[in-house]
Amino acid sequence: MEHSEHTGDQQRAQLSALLDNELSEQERADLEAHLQTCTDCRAELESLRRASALLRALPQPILPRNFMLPVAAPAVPEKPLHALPTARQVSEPERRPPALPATRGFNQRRPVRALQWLSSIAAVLGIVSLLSSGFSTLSSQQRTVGSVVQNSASAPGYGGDARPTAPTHPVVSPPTTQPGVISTPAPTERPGTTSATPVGTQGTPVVQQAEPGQSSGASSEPLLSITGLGVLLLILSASGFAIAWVLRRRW
Amino acid sequence: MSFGKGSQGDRGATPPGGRQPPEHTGDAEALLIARSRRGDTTAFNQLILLHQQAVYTLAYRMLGDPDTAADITQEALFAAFRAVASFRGGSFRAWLLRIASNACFDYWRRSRRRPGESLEALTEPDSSHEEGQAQQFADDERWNPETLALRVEVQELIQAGLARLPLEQRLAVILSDIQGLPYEEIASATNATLGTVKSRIARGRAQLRDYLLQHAELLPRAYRLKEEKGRENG
Repeated sequence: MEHSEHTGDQQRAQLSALLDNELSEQERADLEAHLQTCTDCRAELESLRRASALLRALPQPILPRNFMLPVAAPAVPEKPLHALPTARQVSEPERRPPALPATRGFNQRRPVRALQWLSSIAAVLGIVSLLSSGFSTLSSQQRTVGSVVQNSASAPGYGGDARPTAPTHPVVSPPTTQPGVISTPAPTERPGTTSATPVGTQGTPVVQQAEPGQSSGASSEPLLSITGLGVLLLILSASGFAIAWVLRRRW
Repeated sequence: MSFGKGSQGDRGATPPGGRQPPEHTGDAEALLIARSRRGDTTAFNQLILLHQQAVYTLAYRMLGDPDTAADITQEALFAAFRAVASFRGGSFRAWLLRIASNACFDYWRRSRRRPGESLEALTEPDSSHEEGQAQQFADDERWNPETLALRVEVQELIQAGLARLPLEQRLAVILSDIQGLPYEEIASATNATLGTVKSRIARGRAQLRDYLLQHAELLPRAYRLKEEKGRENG
């Protein structure tokens, strides 16, 4: 054997095959005879043996799961009549059952839950609007009484009285007070404060008398509509709860 | 003096993943295969229980990623069930491993990001074998499998070395050294001639050896210290 072959692919293949006991008797005998005298080939053989042994010493990776195929069972009523000619046809309906119970329960319960949530929100809104309309009727009644009393008294007293009514007032009366106050197009709190500040500073009885009169007279209409809205919301929420209950019992 | 695998004492202790005698389908397995052909999933599952470790190990060593290997394993086993009617005898394990190798190649083709990179680019070896590399590797005690406990770092280094091999060499080396298949079965599993198998295994081993030698510095410090101490003592 020529020395130039030592690093050649063929020689290496022979050495590698010797490790695997994949040479014929004759090839093996020839190669072993050569190895007695050739240090290069011995080194090559030893290095290949080490590489091979390192690979063989690698531990088996741990199986992350069992890879068994789902066994055909008539779990899905639509497709049991099909035969099982291919794995894909078997696997596709069978793959689903583990996933189906979760997704199905989730999908079917979700509308019921949403309905319950909406009903709860409607109920809360209904109660709030009913309460606010009730409070505003009370406060407007109080204000007419208070303003009459304070008309006879001095102006600073009115400023103190206007503050507690301010939080409930803007909710009910913006549409009514805004036309009265021309300079403020801003919504909600503004009408309450603007009507209070000119009163506090100027103290003219004309404005004071006009304002309570306006609010008590014109706010009766929105008050009624807010009460109606509250009742409507409560009815909606009640019916929502009822539907949710029926749906839950059915599933 | 003899150098063959069987006659060498140090190769006598075969590790768990070591070479096994040519396997032929036994009676029980043949029965399970026959039932599987008729669409019996339970029977095929028995076959899966016998061979899933081999299929997963092949996919894991080929691809280097446990999640992808699990997907490929499942894909290959489904494909095997679909194709079980076409099994014509011989080693069922080799047949399964062939399907698994094809699944790995398919995955590799699907997941290629660079279109310019072809299969051929990875199938042709770079014969950058340096002179004296073999001698160095054979002498270097750090790489002695008998003394080198395969710690995680070493395992990762070997896996990285495998990942550098051209796909066909990688497959041949895995089927030979990790799966322990004889050349004949490797040839049938990879659709190659015996000569090609022999050459791929030799090239794969040599390239892995070169890679390991180039990355000896990645060995755990303990090994290097041991080596240095050994040198001092010597």
